[in-house]
This record gives sequence, C-alpha cells and structure tokens, in this order.
Amino acid sequence: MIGSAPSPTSGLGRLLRHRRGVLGGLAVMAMVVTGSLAPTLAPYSYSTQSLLQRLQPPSAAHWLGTDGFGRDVLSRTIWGSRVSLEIGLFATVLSLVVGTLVGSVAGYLGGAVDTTIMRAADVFLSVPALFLILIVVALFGASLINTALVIALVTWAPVARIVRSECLSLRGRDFVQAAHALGAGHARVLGRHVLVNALPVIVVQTSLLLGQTILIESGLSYLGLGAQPPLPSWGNMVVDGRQFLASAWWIATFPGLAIFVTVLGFNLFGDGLRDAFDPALYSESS
Amino acid sequence: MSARGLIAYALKRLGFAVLMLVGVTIILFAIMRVAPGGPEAVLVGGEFSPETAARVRQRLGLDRPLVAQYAGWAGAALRGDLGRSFKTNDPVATLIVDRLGPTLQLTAGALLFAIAVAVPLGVLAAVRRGSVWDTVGSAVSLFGVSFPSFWLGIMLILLFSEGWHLLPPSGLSEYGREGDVTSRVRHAVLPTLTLGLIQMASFMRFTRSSLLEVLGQDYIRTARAKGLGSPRVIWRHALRNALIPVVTVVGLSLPTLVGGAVLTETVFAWPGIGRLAVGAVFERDYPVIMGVNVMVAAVVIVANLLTDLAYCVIDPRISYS
Repeated sequence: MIGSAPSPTSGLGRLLRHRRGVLGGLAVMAMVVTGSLAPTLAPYSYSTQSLLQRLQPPSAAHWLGTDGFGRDVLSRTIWGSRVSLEIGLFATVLSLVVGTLVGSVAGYLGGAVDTTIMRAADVFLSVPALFLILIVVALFGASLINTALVIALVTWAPVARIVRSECLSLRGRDFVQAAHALGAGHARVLGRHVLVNALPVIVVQTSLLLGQTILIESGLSYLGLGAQPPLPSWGNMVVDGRQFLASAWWIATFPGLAIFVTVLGFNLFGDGLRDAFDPALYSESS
Repeated sequence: MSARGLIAYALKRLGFAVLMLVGVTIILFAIMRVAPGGPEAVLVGGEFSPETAARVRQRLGLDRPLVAQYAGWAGAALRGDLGRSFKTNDPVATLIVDRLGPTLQLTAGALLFAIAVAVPLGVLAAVRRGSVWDTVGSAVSLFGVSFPSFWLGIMLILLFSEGWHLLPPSGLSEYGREGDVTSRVRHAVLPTLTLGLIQMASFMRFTRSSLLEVLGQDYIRTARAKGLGSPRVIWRHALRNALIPVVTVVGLSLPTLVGGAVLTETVFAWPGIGRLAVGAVFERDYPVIMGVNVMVAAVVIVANLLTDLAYCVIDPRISYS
C-alpha cells in the first residue's frame, strides 16, 4: 500500500520491547486499578476522623500514617486517585476531540481556514493557562465538569497544532490523492484516510496529555479549587500536609508521590508509544 | 531579511499582538460578568438584603450595561488607569507595580538557572549520545515534566528548611531585613530552584534534539573532514545553529513560567503577581483580575513577538515576507 501507516502488530511488538514504555504502562495500569477498586482496596474510610489517631507516623496499622484529623493517608491517597484520573480522563478526551477536529480541518483544508484557526490557537497558547483556569474555576465553581471543560479549553491548542502538521503532510500523499481521484468527498477522505493515518500521533498525544491534565488538576486542588473536602484529591492532601511539614512529613509526601508516579507513568508510556508507532523515529533508532 | 522587510513584518505582528490583547480583555470581561454571583457577597459578607446588594453593585458601576462597562474600562486602561481594587480601593496599577519586582526576580532567576543547567546538559547528552550523560539528561527532562511544581517546592522545604535548617521556607526576606541582600538571596534559592527545575526539562530536551539534528548535517561532516577537532566543530559550527530553535522554546515557555509562578508563589508565600491574582480571584476583585491578566498577557505577547523577531535576526535564512 502506498504511504501506509506501520502495521499495528509490529508497533505493539516494539512497544512491548520498550522497557520504559512498559514500566510506564504498568504504573498507569496500577493507578487505574487502584482508583477503580478504591472501595475494596482502601483499608479505612477516607473521611472518618479520630483525634486519638492524629498525626501517627507510618506503621503496620496505618502504612502511610495518619493526617491532622486522624484519617488514614493510604486510604485517602487511594480514593484521591479517582478524582485525578476522572478529571484527567474527561479533560483529555474533550481536548483531543476538539484539538483533532480543529487541527485536522485546518491542516487538510489549508488556506484561509488554516490561518484563521491557527491564529485562534495562538491566542490560547499565549495566555498563561493556569491564570485562565483559575479565573473560570473560581468564578463558576469547581465541579468535575467545569474543571475538565476549562482544562480542555487550554490544552486543545497544542493538540490542534500537532494534528494539523500531521494532516498537512498527509494530504499531499499519493493514497489521499488516489481517494480524491476515485471521487471520495472531503469528509470521507479526512475521516477514512487522513485521520486514520494520523492516529499514531493522536494516541501518543493522549498519553502525554493525560499526564498534563492530571498535573493541572492537582495544581488547582492545591489552590483550593479542586475536589471539596472531605472528598480527598491528591492536591488538597498536599495542602493539608503543608502545615504539618515539620512534625508529620508523610501527609504531604505520599499524595505528591502518587501524582508524580502517575504523571511519570503516562509520560513514559507516551514515549514508548511514540518510539513504537512513529515510523520516522523507529527507522532512526533501529 | 532586509531591514525594511523586518520592519514591515514587525509592524504586522505588532498589529496582530494588539488585536490579540483586545481579544483577551473581551474574553476575560465576558467570563467575569457571565459567572454567577458577584463581588457584593464578598464585600458585604454574611447575610444581606437585595437592596444592599443593588446599592453595592451601583457603587461599583456593575449595574450599567455590559458594553458600557467594558468601554469605560477599556477607555480608562488606554489612558493608563486600570481602576481601583473593589476591596482595598488601591489603584490596581500600584498593586501590580508593588508585586512586579518579586515576580520578575523569581521568573528571571528561574529562567536563567534553567538555561544555565539545561543547555550544557543537553549539549553533553547529544554529543555523548547513549552515555551516562544522555541517561542523566533524559531522566532530568522526564522527571521535570512529571513533578507537580507545588509538591517539589514542599519537598525542598521539607529537606532544606525543616530537615537541615539551611534555608528559609517562605517570604521575600526576614521581617525588618528587607534591604539585606544576603537574606533576600537565601529566601530566593528554594522558589527559584522549584520554578527553574520544572522549566529545565523542555529546554534540555530541545537542546539535545536540536543539536543531534545539526550534528547529522553535511556541513558538520565537511568540517570534520577538513580535520577540525571535535570541540571546534561543536562550538563553532553545530551549537550556534542548534541554539536557534532553543531561543524559540525559551520564548514560548513564558506562559508556563508565569503560570508556574502562581503555584510557586503560593507555596513559598512569595509576595508576587501570582498571589495577587489568586487572592483577587477568590475575592472577585474584578479590576485587579483584569489588570493582572492584561499585564501578564501583554508581557507574554510582546515576548513572543520579540522571540520571532530575534529569530529572523539570528537566522538570515528565515523570511516572513
């Protein structure tokens, strides 16, 4: 086939041989399983307070210690993964849908449409994302949907840029020309031929974007604009731990470590995907 | 590019930058006025009657039509008047100027630190590809993009302030020693490190890949074939060309740098623009929110413009005409 994408089986094989990618994938999987099974896995309730158990260091009873209200840090960290992953996933899907749609149309059609769309993307790229998110979430309330929506609002532009450049290079290829010659309309060529071949790039972006959105969500939680107490999120657990830093290091340390491991996992997995599915990189490294 | 071409391009971009800035102010204005609730709840506090709310809104000028409000704000802003804080009644411009210094110090310090570490490390990683340096470099860049900055800051406080008592955990300086340079430098170390470490990752990744690309070019092979030594080829021929795209990445990183400053300033109780913005958002202090954001957006837009212009001055092959 002319200008075809690499076959998925060989890509999968390369991914499985990519040690860091596999490691990242495992970390991600562990976090997703932990979040899904939170009610079963968490040894204690995330909200039950016990003043007698305040600020206990890690021990056999409380593996990661207890916080200022005597709540189990491990259980809260396990429950916290839900908020981060839910918002991360929701925001990423939104951002991908918008970014892919807008980017592919811009790259495929080119001309004035391309210029207009990419200038609009420039506006979003030039406003410090956190400022915009902060304003919207603070004024409209920190619900799951609001937070995910606004994170998507500031992350679609880079996705659009990447998808655009991929479509720009794909549209001149022989198989796209052939599809046109056979009488296929724009929508069909874009959907069936261009986007399918841009898929590897989009998949890689998904993984990297998930890491990014989780980081943004945790930052918002840290500023007090994430999940509201007593529901734990990794970001608000780190804030709680900040005031006990001198006497109880574990409260801020472990939830932060969870964010770090999850984001690192998504980044490693994304790198693995890129190395395995990007034909240019593959031929360079082999 | 000829000087005339450059000026024409600069003017075109400047026009676009002004349009973008106007766009940003309209979007911000719309977002704030569409949001439910208003500043009266924060200003009056507790229970209050609809009449009180209406009186407060009238005093703040919020009862006027939206377009009139925006026109009033924009007209005053053009004359350099950004209005007064709803909460303290201080001029917004004064509030911003007071906090600009600490934020500039923090962001410039972080940027310099990031470049100073990332560029040499990126060069080493590219030149000694596959060596220990390459591994260290990729670990640094991977960790850098995976750390939540606020947590990194707290961990640094845990180690250097709470653990080893080497550096102060927060503030700009000790109380009453604001003019003491040593005290200010000691206070600046941890926040600068926090913000810089996060920024370092992309710079280092970019330096490495850009240099690797250049090292594969024909003219480098020619230089080597002429018998030039490795250091000379790398410094004279490769690095100069490889650093051009790095300049762009540094310019494009400004929005993340400023965004990162919001969190870093919050963690270290650093009295800068970021904390001003966070406070204003929670208190619905519209004039302060507008002022800070317009100022930040203007800085970012101008910096991007300068980066683009620097790009065509550094690289004569680029033509935007």
